[in-house]
Amino acid sequence: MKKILLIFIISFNFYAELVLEITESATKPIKIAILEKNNNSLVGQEIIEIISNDLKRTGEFEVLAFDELLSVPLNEKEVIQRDWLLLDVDSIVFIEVQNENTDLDISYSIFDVSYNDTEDKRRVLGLPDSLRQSSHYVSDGIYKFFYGIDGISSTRLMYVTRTSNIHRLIISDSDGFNEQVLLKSNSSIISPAWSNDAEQIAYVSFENNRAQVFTQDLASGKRELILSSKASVSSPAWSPNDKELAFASTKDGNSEIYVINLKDKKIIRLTENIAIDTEPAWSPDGKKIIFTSDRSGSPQIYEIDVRTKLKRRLTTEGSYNARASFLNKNEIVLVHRSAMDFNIASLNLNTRELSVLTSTKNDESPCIAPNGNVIIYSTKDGNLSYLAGINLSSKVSFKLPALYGELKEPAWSPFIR
Amino acid sequence: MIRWFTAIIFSIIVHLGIILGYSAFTSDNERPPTRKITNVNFLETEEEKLVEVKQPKKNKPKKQNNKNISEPKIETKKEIKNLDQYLKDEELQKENSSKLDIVEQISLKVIKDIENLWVRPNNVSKGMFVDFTLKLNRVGLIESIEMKRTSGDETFDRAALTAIRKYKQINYIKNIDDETFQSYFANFTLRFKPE
Repeated sequence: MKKILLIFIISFNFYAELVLEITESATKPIKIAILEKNNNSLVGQEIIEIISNDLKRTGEFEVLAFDELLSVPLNEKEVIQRDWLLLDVDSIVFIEVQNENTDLDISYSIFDVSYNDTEDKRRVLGLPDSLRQSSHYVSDGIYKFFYGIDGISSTRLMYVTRTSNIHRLIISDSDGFNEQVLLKSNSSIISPAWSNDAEQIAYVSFENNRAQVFTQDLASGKRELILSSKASVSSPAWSPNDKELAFASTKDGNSEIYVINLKDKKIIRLTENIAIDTEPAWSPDGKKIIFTSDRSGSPQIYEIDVRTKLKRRLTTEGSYNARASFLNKNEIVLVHRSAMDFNIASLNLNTRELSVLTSTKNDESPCIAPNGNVIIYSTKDGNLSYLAGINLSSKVSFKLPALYGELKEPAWSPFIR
Repeated sequence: MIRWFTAIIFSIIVHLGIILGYSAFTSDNERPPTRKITNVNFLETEEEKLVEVKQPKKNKPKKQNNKNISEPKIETKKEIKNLDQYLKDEELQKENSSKLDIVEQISLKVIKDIENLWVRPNNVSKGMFVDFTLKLNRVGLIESIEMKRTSGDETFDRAALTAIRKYKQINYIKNIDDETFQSYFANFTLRFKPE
């Protein structure tokens, strides 16, 4: 009895515990400095420049320039915390280049200024002639340390360029370096798409005066026409397991959505409608396909279950919604016309809330980075077509340098390990 | 034997009554009124419920809800005989209410400051949160940070911890009285829960 009483008394005399809930976060970028550890080599400077540019491009990092620093420590022990607190720096990244077996390995450590200690140490093993790629891996490691999701600096971009009626299908690093021309043609090339293992691509070529879908093995360069038909075949989309390819074709009269098994070439027709059905895209689980259809009188996004063929309309807002793809299982990205502008927008499939993401005017072909946080699209300024992007978490927009007369149809590679 | 037993039970009921009555009176003064302040929570709802359930048995006219406007009128009638006591009570209540205003003001400032320091990672999922218990010294310096409940994600926890580490000292604490400091800020919880 005494015990119970005691508990009662204690509980009645307790003060209320204060809980402060932080729900909003700062929109500012993380401020860092990147230094070479115990050295000041040319290679080190080159690596630091690549990493700085990678991180700055995300809009989620502010990287201090060398001349902005108050002191230059050679290693963690030499860090004078006060100097860095004055500059409001969050962390210092120390890079160490190790030249073993002729391939350059890069070690890096992240020194937390407020904690005054090293928080993370990692090493990226070098491969022959891969200094840029190894540096991109370091950038991705730093990005993941702070933001919890994979960085995309080490991924690749595919796009189509046109200069004086010569069309090129090009693959480059995500920062535009190391361009490789995969196909050069006098006819249009559109809708390039990466397979999910990043080993193959598919695209539409008009080289035979009609739209035809080809797949191409990136290692061997071997091309394959997926469907021999006199009708148009377009908009290839790899299924998540890379065993099937969805496409649109007029082979039965008007444009319908089909799925072809790449092994046995068996074709399944998914839509049967007098309207135009095109631009298929797979859901992440491979069970559904979303596509554009004008069956209601204007282009809108529909979803079809691959097995049951049950359909439903997804977009209701606006008179033009097209070229949709899944951002995640609950959200899609599409081209939406608001007033007279064509913008990239996202649609939440649960709430049906549509958010316009871009402020440019003639946006098309949105493609999503493999970490789901960046959307790249082609847009027009006058007659010039160029690539632009938006970082979804930082809301920072960016423009890729226009080296060609026309640059369009971007496709972001999956993660390359 | 039955007499003894009845006497014991009677005694327990009387004692319980006294304790509950006493606690109801005192807790009224100590317990802050229920307020809706964005992001500031007082973890006391359970205690309040406990008292509320017990109260009707004794059918005392005093209610827990301080928001009830008609309540003071009844009290004045009853306690007008003991004017000194009534004035004292009223003063105490005023003092407590101003104390809570101070707690509220400081809390909101602290929340705003930390929100400006916290860079949220991008891997936030629905309902994710991390709790830290902070121990402050009398001048507001954060003496210890203890993770009370992890979010389950290392990056999310680390980002929150970095924001607290950057904060270092809560300057507003210096000017509050010792009792308020001990009651609310000597130990408190910071919860990072993105909307």
